[in-house]
Amino acid sequence: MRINSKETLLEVKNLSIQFKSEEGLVLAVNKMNFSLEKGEKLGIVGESGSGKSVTSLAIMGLIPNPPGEISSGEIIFEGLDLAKASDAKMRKLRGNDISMIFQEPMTSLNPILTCGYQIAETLMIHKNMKKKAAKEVAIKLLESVGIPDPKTNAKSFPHQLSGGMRQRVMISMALACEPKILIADEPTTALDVTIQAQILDLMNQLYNIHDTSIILITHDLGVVSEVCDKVIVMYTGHVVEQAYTEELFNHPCHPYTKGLIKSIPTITKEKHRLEEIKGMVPNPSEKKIGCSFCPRCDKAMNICKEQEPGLYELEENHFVRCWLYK
Amino acid sequence: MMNQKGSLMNKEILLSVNNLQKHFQIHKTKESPYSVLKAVDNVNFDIYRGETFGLVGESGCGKSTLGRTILHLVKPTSGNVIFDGINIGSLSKKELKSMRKKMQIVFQDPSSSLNPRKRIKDIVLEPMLIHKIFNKQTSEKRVDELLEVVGLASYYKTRYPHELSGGQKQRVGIARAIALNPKFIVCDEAVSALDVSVQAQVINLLNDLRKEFNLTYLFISHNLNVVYQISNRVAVMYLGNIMEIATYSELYESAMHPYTKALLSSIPQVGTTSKNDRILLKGDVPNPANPPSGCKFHTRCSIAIDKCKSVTPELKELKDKHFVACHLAK
Repeated sequence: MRINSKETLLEVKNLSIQFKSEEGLVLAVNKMNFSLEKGEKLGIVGESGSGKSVTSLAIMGLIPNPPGEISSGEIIFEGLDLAKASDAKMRKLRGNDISMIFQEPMTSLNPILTCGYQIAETLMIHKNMKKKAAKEVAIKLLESVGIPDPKTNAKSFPHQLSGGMRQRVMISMALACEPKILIADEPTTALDVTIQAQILDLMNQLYNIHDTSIILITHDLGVVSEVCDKVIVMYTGHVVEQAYTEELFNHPCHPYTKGLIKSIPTITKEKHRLEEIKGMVPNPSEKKIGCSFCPRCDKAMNICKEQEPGLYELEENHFVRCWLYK
Repeated sequence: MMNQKGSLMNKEILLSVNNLQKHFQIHKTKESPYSVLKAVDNVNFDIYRGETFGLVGESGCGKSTLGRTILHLVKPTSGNVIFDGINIGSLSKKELKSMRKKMQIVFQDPSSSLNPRKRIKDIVLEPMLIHKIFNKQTSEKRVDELLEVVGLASYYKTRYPHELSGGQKQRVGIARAIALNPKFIVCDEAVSALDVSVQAQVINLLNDLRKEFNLTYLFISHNLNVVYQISNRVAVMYLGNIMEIATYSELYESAMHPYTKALLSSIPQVGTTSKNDRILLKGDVPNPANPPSGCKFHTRCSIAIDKCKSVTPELKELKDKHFVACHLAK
């Protein structure tokens, strides 16, 4: 942990994102608030459809519009509101100050360009480097992410590399311009566990060298627990709990977080039946009254069905969206 | 708590896999001038009646092919599978078809393994019609019964797969698999496509069904946590070979193969902060069309000796019910 400076790098205020669909307006992210300190590793966890990826796309200014749009709120980065920034401004930021690693490296790399060129491209655009110089830097970058024989591999196309290697290429590309924020959207989900361990180790190493803050988006609580300083748990577009990692896993408060932690199979000496969260994630287009987790919650009270709970601060930096903690 | 002792004390072998091999002919290209891919290479193990036998390995190690070869959905290159005392390979087409009543499979991706143009009740009914067990009149009751067993309300009967969530679709897949009262089910990554909260529901369902109907599972997954949770015994596979077989508790307490140890240490666990003892494997899984000589794991193994490069280790029983294929394991 390197959080002693307490300098806020990114602040998301009241962010709501909606999508137009055949079933009407769908609120993918609902009044989200969080901040990212300098040098912090923030994790956003949630099941599919909880709005975690949409949040990261919003920061990058990549929400497909139409059908999606940021309906309210601000994303403040160095005094600039990214939610309202012009396309030209965003193009300058993307890959330069804020960069992103995607889940499936095969579909996010260009199949007809060599890996070396794709990395060099970033440098040519943002750093005004000449092609030759940029290619040399690209080879150095490939070496720094542990690609064997970087000179030859810079000339290979994405399909010639394995999944783990492709993800390394993505990481080197994202780090090419020494970004201030690195957003990693499920960076290891498509990889095998032994390769995942390598990539997480690499990200930690690079984090220690570069001065980068990380937002890690994943459904894997294990990964978050190992990598992040602070965790946000999302459910149906809401932040339901937010706390420092240790605090969250030692004292989870929201019934959803508790259920999520208990439902992961773990390798421990004693085996016991998994505790399940009953029911399933509701259809996002359904109009909800009250707490969105209420139908699946075993502690639900009358008020939960009628009124939406706010985000209450339990202790310093531990927030819970649940009536139980009002 | 699993019925661990009960199912293992009367060790009656239900299925026995002997020297099973599945080789695929592949096209030669410039990058890989090899023509045979040994997806399953000399695999031997027994599955006892009433147990869940877990099979774990990374992508491309041949675990799905092994599952399909056992069911003879793909024909083995050599070796045989003895199911309930009968050599499946020696059966005629007709005999094999009636044998299929006893062996079923649940697939990974519930969306692509259900026919999108059929209603749920027709999907669940189909195996019974094929095997002429029920006619259309008596079947309605049976479908209700099956849907209730897997925890689906009966009004889903007339829905189509796209109207269901992933977890519900997987429940339909399970209902279809148990429709014929099989003895043995291969679960091929049956919970991998599901979210954790739903995954826990399906794991518990599979466990309940096993006890209720005295089923035997071959549970294939890349997720060691899940395999550990559901299995009585676990086999670890790497590039077509079985590296280690042990009971789940034995594997947890004293894994012997360096690959198993690395796998176990790679899994990020919730709440643990001790990452220092993690064994990081070097490099990627080698090309299965051109596997390393000797022990296939030697290129990534930290303790490999010269012998590992030339001599293939056999799967030996080093402790009671604990098989390991490693020269250095004692």
